[in-house]
Amino acid sequence: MNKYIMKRNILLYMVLLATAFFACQKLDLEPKGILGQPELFGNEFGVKKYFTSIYDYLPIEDFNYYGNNNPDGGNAFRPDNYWQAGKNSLGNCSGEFFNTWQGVNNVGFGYWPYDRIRDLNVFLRDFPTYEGEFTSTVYNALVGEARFLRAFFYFGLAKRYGGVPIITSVQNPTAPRDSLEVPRNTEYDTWKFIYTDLQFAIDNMRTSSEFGRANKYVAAALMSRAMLYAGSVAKYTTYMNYGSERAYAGGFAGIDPSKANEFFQYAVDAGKVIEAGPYQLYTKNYPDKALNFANIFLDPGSTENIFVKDFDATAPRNTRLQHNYDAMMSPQPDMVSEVGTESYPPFDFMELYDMPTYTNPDGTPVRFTNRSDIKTDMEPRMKGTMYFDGDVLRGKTFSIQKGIYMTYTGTAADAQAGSNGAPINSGTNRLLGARGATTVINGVTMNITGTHGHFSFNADGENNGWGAAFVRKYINPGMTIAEAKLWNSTTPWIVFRLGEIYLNTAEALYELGKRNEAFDYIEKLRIRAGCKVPRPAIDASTSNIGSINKANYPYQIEKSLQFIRDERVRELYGENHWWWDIRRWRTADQILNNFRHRMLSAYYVANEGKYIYLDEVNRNNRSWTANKTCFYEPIPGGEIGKNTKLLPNNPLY
Amino acid sequence: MQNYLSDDLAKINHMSKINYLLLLLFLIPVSLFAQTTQVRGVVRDSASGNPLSGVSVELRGPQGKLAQTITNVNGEYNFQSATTATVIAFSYTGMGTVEENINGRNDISIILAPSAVNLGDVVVVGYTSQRKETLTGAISTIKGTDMQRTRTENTLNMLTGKMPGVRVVQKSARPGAYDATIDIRGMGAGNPPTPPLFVIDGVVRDKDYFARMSSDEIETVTILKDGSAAVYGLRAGNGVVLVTTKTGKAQGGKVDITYNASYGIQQYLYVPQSVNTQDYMTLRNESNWQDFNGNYLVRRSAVFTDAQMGPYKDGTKRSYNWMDEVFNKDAPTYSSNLSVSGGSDKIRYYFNLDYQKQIGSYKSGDLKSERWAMRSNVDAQITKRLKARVQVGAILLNRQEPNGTGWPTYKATWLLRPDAPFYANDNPAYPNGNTDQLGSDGNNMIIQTNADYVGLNVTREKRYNGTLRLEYEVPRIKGLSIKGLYDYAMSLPDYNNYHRAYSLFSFNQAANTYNTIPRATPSTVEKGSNMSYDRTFQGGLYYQNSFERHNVNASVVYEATYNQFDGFSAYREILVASQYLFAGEDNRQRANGQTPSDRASRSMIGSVVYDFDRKYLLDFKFRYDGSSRFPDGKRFGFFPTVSAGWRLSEEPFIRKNLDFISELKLRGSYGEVGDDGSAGNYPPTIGYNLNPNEVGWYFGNPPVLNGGVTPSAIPNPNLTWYRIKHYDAAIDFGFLNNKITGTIEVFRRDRSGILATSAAVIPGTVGANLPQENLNNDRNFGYELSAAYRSKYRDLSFYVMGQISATKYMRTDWLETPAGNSLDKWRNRTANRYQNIWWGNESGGMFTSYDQIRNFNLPVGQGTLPGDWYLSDWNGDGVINGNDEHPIATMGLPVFNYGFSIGGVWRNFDVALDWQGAHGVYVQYAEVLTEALPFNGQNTLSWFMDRWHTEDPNADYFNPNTKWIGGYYPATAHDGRRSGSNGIMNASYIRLKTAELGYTFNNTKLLSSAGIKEFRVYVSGYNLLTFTPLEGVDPERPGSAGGASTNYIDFYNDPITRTYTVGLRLKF
Repeated sequence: MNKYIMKRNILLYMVLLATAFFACQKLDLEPKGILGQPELFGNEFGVKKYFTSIYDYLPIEDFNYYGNNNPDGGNAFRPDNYWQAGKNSLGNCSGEFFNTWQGVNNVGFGYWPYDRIRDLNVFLRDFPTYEGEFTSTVYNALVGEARFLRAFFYFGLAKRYGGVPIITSVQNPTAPRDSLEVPRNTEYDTWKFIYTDLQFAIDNMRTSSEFGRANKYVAAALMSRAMLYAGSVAKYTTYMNYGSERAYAGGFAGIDPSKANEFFQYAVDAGKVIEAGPYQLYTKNYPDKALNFANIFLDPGSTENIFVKDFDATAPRNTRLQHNYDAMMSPQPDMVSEVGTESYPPFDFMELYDMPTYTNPDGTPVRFTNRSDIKTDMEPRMKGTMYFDGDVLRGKTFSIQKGIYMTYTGTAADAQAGSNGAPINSGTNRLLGARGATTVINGVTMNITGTHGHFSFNADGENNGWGAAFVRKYINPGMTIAEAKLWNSTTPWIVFRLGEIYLNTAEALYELGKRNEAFDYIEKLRIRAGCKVPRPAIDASTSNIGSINKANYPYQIEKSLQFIRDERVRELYGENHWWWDIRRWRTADQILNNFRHRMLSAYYVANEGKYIYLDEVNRNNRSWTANKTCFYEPIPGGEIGKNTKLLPNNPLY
Repeated sequence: MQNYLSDDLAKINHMSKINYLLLLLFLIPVSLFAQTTQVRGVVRDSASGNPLSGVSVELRGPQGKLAQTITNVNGEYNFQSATTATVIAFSYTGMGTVEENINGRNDISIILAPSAVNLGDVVVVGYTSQRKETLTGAISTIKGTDMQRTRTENTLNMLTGKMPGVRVVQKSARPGAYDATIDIRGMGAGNPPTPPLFVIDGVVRDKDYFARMSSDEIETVTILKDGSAAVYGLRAGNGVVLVTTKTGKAQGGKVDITYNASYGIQQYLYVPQSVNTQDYMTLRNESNWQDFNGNYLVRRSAVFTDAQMGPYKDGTKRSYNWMDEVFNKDAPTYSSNLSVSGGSDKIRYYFNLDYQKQIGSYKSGDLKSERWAMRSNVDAQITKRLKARVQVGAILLNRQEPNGTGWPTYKATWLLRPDAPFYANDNPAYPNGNTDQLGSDGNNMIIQTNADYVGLNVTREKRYNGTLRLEYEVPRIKGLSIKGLYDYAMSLPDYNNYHRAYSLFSFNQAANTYNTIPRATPSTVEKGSNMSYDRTFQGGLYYQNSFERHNVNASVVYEATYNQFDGFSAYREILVASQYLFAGEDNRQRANGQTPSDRASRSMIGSVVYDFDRKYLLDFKFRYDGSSRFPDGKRFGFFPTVSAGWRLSEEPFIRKNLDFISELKLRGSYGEVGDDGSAGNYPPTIGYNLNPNEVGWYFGNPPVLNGGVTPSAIPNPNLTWYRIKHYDAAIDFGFLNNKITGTIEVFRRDRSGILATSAAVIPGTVGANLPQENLNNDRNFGYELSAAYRSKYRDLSFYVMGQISATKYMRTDWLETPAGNSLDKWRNRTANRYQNIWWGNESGGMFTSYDQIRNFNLPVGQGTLPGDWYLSDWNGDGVINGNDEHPIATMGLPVFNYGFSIGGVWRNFDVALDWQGAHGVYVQYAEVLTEALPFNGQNTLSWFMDRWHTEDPNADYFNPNTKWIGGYYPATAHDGRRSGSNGIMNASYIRLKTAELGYTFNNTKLLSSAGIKEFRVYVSGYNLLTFTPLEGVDPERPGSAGGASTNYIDFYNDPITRTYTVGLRLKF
């Protein structure tokens, strides 16, 4: 009797146990780690969080940007292996920097950021639902911010492809295929669309914002740059003889030259908006104009900064908010503890600045007592942009020498740009060597090469000072050598600064025929740069020969306009502008026409105990060549495969 | 409630007393009925000669089973009445069943021998167990003792080559890495691989758990390869590995204490060496001169002059052999194990404690791992009808390695230049850090592998699980029982990565000073933990009965699971002399939280296994599964399995006419399985994932990092299970009283509804991916053969067994961008095609002279030299380019896997050899292994000395009169056999995976007086012999592509080891 009760009870317990704990195991689990639109769009912090990811994907060509198709995965803006950006940078791909890895490659990387454009279109569609949660000022400013961000992506597209499909709605991916195949808009419409978005942003955004975030002036700065690009495209594409190209004929690549002034005027107008803002050229470190120029890029409180992207070593790796610039631009191990130099400034760019005399009028090399004497008489801005022999970084002094001449009789030209075949360069007269190579001259042991280059027999350009300079712009001397390592740089990237806006305005004004007004801006920059002639006289005579590589432009250009273009190179060296500039000027194929970098090489002349500097061809004899396809990237092939309405493809593809 | 409980306890006490009484009563009949025909005997174990207790002994007459008993502690059994019996059958788990004709004998003693596969075994198959002879599914079983012949740290490796259809590849022998892959019939062998489901004592665990288990606690491992896996549902689509742990045996309260200990030496296999200084300089000079462009017009001067090389030639300067200085050639491993088991009919227990230690190859000794495994299985008969089982398991792993070591360690050491001193000025107080000598990374690998300098990473894995089972035999209905199980398991790994700042030095000859080179500053500590908690409940009704010749085994089970995941980590810079987080700086500290997630499932499992007279077999099983990972409405799936078998050997026409056939069975199965493995954690919903580790931005002054959100994919409300259909057909046979046994099996698995996103086909301007849909279909198919021969000759009992399996994979229907033309379709599309095809150019031959280059019928590169390879113009269009690419090898895991084992017992000796091989596998290596002077002329491997070079080292390479000496590799710095079919090497192999020789001491007086029941010593070897066409590289070393590679850098893994082990086993 008892037995049965007991067993029944045990059974009961088991059933109870099972039921209590498990029988109704819920399958409708509350998803963890997911936010919905009400949380994100319903208050300002949520919107900021939503925009955070958009900002991170903005096409900002910063320290990590790969100029080339990124072989290591990710896209060029967010490369997976972004320390490699040191050798794959836009500067290295376009000849602005020198190293041995990259050639010009304009196939692009299939930039097609419509996913982020969709995010913004989703915001613009759904945000009105939450309008009641905000004051109208804040609401309008946030809508303006979204349109600024959208314009930034379209700018990234337009400067690569010309006309692209303008998508302003949120398409349903499962909608009929046909409705999803959107054709290209014309290049004119694309730039005008950017203009409309930005004008809305300028009209609605607030005049100030926290560091790192866009406001009215940031929108105006993008407007200034974008409209200058559009104006140049309109004005110069006609010289490309694309006549028979369907993309050109259809207006997808190229703009009617008559529209050029419309865009130049927009650029000027945008510049005026910024001038009304709180920005001033940075002069904090006067009277040391070289230091002042270098500090523009290091002082986060610079009065010149309009929009800045910050980096930090503690950022999670995948956000790409760390960078390695310091580790990759200075010699290792003396000044940095990892990697070492990957890029060097070529002489072709150096000679655009006020350079000291290194060749006498009779053609013989000037004799310097010290190698560092080359800096006497040098434009302060140049010294702020590059490091030379004798400069000190992180407690170590740059030492840059290529070799020793036992004797040097004759002119600089006798060295035949460094050719091994020149008699004066015979192995017994000119001594070259590897790192640390020494020789004994008159009983004294002498280093053949400088501690930091440049060396022979180094298979590549890594960590070997090619030429006479290292890059100084954006290098943070405040780090210790040990800190100067991979993923440890914190210097912010300046996306827009007043200096560029002045140059944009000056160029647009000059293109509009307002020559003197243009030079008002040039003068301001040249005073800050410490140039010998702050305001050169207007020279409206024309030529079709450019400065770098004596390029043969397809059109005539007033010499003062060329001067403004050169001023842009001087002021913005190493800031990832040059490639886009020579593209929009439609001169890239001529400038990078077998462009063989030159280097300025320091030698010790043993019998005199003096130093000379010679203008030499880069030792590897490397040359950069871009052809006429470089002005537009091809529409990504995969996209054409999915939507043939994207045809015609850009000229020459 | 409390009252009831205490009542129950009182009753239990009462019951046990009754049972003792009953026990006494049972003993009485022995004398009372002794006059009837009696059969008795002793059963002994063939290996030890000791009596075996717990052996099931069955008396059978012409009508079937008459009586059954089990042997006692002394291995004795005794049947009082056996008048109508004709056959007596002995069966013991792991030793199969042996039948003897009684033929009027009264004393039948027998020796049972262990066997790897035996048709008579009882096999645990999906929530119940079944006799092997009535199985209808594709199932292989191996016993723990057979696994243990392979002495290695990773339990997974113990399966290698021993079971048909199971592929195990060891990728590395790094301590604590447990780096091996397993797949069943090629299922889930993708990249990354999805391992089969691991079910340990009825509860789902994972591959890592199994790999770390103590092999001593494993009773059997059963692999379910076809639809029979379906009862494990959910993630069982790639097959199931079922593990049963040991249980104490009712042996009258006696205790067995077993102690195992072993010591092994691991030798690192196939570790290439780098060249010495003289060779290095020679190769550097050659690479300088082979460059046509660099030598055009004006020839470069030598990188190293004769003056520089001279001192190395004549021995005044020495080369530095970094490999010898950084790595040991061998390292020890230890293991010891203590198990206690025993029990009475009331309570049975098995306790196991296992310790293992493995030292790695770094000379510093800082790379090592220790593993503890603990298990306690207790079975209690609570009342006559109620049984309980409590299982507790714990696995602890402590792995440590110098910070910053891992895959690059061998790479970096191979690359260190032989003229770079270990220490600045050879002064051991100043480790060399001169980047001019060490290369731009400046890593001194002696220091880099020494935790005293670089800091130590310590990872502690902790896995615990506890299971309670209750089984209740329902009264009055014979064969019906209720079983319930609850399991709670957790995994709580934590790590402490201490990255230590340290200094290297360079020597300034002129000033006679040492310059300090600070490295890895500042010191940092990162500490974190990733936890997971799992709970499983099963409860069901089980029914097993026989009606005359109808045997039925049916069950219906309800199962619910819940899994939860979370984790976090913290990071600080550390400036004081500590390696712990608490001592770190607040400045720049950071904390990260892993996105938490959870999953749940609910399932109903039903099974009916029916046979008629053990002759006609029919199984029907089903599973009705619900997963929280699919959207409501598409959540549940029904997955049935049917299998049938026919034992021809039981048919009279076979029995009468073909009596050499002891077993012949035809069987086939069809099963459907669902899989939710590739679905996300949650059903797709519109929303945004917080993704602070992927996207962020700095706002504010001072700037503060804001984490961003990423939109989730567009939801597909129709997302559901993908379906797997298994087809399997086989013949099992046994001849000559099962001396020869074997199986021939063919299989196919079709999957449909594999998740895919058709992003490739909608325009990118939409800006969103199409939702994942159940779109793709694929197929695995192949065959397996296995056979075994077991016999006895006088004192010698032996076995030979072998197995081979082949598997292929194809995509039957695959979403991809439509091909533009037929060439594109042939070259780039994958649908309806075998996968694992290696496309490439075929290498032609080597140019042997300038004349041949000059007269070559195809364009050749400007700097081509004798010794260079040319690719063949496969399509004959006069140019060599990508269009000449065609299938040149198979990619991925081997097509054929085989193994064979030979072993036996002779008197006190036992020997076992396990061979294992793979065929149809190709690998490609890269970088250091295929390229002379890689990474800007750093050091290189010695095999690159076998290269084409000029007779006169200073000769002009491009002078047609230069005399050349041939070699295996082209001229230094030319394509070192990297492109075309040249780069792809046949990594087929056969290796003696295991050899073991043991000696068991007789049950002598000496041993008995010490209380020792069993004493065995053995020597064992692992990876003793290898035969492979591959040169210089271990065939199991993953490539940069092909083989078991899942990652380009896998080929830098720590080398695989050959291990010699000596050990002993003592049983008290």
